[in-house]
Amino acid sequence: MRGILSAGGYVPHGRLDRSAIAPFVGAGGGRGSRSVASYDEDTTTMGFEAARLALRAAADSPRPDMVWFSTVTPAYLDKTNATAIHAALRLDDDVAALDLGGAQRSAVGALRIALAGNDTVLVVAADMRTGFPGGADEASGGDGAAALLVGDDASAPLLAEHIGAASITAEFLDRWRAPGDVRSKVWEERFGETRYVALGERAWSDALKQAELTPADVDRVIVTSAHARATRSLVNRLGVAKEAIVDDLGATVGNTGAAHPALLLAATLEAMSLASAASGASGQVIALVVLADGADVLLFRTTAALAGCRTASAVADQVATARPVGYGKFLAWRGMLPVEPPRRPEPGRVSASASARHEDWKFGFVGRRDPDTDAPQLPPLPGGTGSAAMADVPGTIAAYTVDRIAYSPSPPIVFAIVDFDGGGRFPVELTDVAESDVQVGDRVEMTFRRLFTADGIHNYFWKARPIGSPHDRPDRQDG
Amino acid sequence: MPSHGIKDQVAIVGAACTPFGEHWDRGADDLMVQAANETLASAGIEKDDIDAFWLGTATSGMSGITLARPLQVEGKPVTRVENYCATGSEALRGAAYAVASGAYDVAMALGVEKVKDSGYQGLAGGAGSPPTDGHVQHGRPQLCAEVRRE
Repeated sequence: MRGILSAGGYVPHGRLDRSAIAPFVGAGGGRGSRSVASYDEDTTTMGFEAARLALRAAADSPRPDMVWFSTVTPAYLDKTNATAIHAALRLDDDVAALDLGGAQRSAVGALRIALAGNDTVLVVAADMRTGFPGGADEASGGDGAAALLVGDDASAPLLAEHIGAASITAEFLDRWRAPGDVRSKVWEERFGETRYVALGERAWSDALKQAELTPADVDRVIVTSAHARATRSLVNRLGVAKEAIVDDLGATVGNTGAAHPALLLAATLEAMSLASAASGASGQVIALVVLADGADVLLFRTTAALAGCRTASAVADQVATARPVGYGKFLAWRGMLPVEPPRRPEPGRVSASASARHEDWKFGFVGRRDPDTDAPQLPPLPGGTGSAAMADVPGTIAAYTVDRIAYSPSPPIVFAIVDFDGGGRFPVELTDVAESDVQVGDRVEMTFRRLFTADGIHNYFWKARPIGSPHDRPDRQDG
Repeated sequence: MPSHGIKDQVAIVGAACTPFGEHWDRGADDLMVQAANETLASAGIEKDDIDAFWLGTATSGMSGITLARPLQVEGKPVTRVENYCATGSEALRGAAYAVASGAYDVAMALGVEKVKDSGYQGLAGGAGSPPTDGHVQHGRPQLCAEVRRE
């Protein structure tokens, strides 16, 4: 029996209020908010965060045979991005890390291939959606990532069994982007709607037939596509109850493109896990319907194990904890609005050989231990012994400083000395934080980020972020 | 201007040299620690017997911290010097004159260069900061904050 062993979703901390767009551009925007990756995040770092949550949530810690990464917005071309995720997860070197990227459809395609195969595969997808200021893609898009651990019930208990699938393919132009372009273009939307609705209906009936189900048997339907109008039309033609349709997070997160099918599936599994823990229900049918250059429908049936599954950070909680990002900052972070750079020399590129030597430290945040005291040694020194894996260890801020002079892609740098639970101290940059929020004694956790880019080389390393949002701390004024 | 030699006032009591090579698996840290430990062993003394250090490096690090951190030197002066191709002998000269002056009994001179981490063939003069794995983000204010806390 094949299916989903675990799931994790990652929604970055920042939100752009869509109503902020029109006053600046003169048009566009809308209601609600969209998620915004911070200046120090990219699809690789977000993909890692989702993958880490999925592996943490998996029962019996099954070992993936492969990691697949899909995105429309890769940090690198020609070089594999999944290797950085693989390194940050500290997977064994005989676990293959592959990019299955390019188009939005690649992500749901990767999930389909994984379900059809024999290996335990960590299927990761991430995306950052951007359009020109005032455009529909800018407002309706979102940033995020999701990861699904796919395997069979021999390796670990399945949360949801895969019970059927169908794919219909059609070559037609609805949206496209030339390599190097910062945004996609779209054809007149009625054309795409006509094609997509017909393709979706066919895939829907084919998949149900394969699983010997009727629409009434489906308890949750996730319908997602970059074509919002086609999605709405198809939803009305599936023959399922309105209550079965899963919220597409459009009002809060936006459409996260390649990541969205898995993000919605992860969020659905998390919500059903809580519900089934309360009701004892299992055996419910989930349908994932994706319209992208054709139509893909995947059917799952939840198991009794779902009720016992808990994630360290549910998508719903991440959606609820957010920090507003101003429209000017959003445009600057996206490279859409050139702003005065810091008057500091830009940092040099990192060394390939030095990075490779320190892969465990740089990508995995693994220190050594002091030979005399056995305390974690951060950074690791030549005289250190053993190893100290610190990426999942929380800590407390012992001291901090706000540096307005040091180079940062988005100044100022908030820099803290963190004492880790169980020992170890490290001076590290804080992120997802406003300087006015920081206090000595605050609790933090480590997050994998992109410090800067020089000579096209992304400098990935770790930062600390507050545990819980400032909104959880009533003694604080939100900065 | 007369110069005053230090003949017979200072002796080299130990020495060691790491093999020369590409050393893809080793950084300046590792090479310095090996050279220092083997030098100490050759003289039959401990790290704590050293009163002061002179480090010569042109491109592999800035300041005495380059040596103090990997060798875990505390409470001892570490001076980093750079003088193009005379960098190594500059470190030795500093250490020798320090002992000759009577200020220190034992000083260590150490030279290091990890040329192959720059991504360019040969000495990459003008390539900017020393090549690293990118994790070090210390500006002076941050280091000062660290020191205050300590």
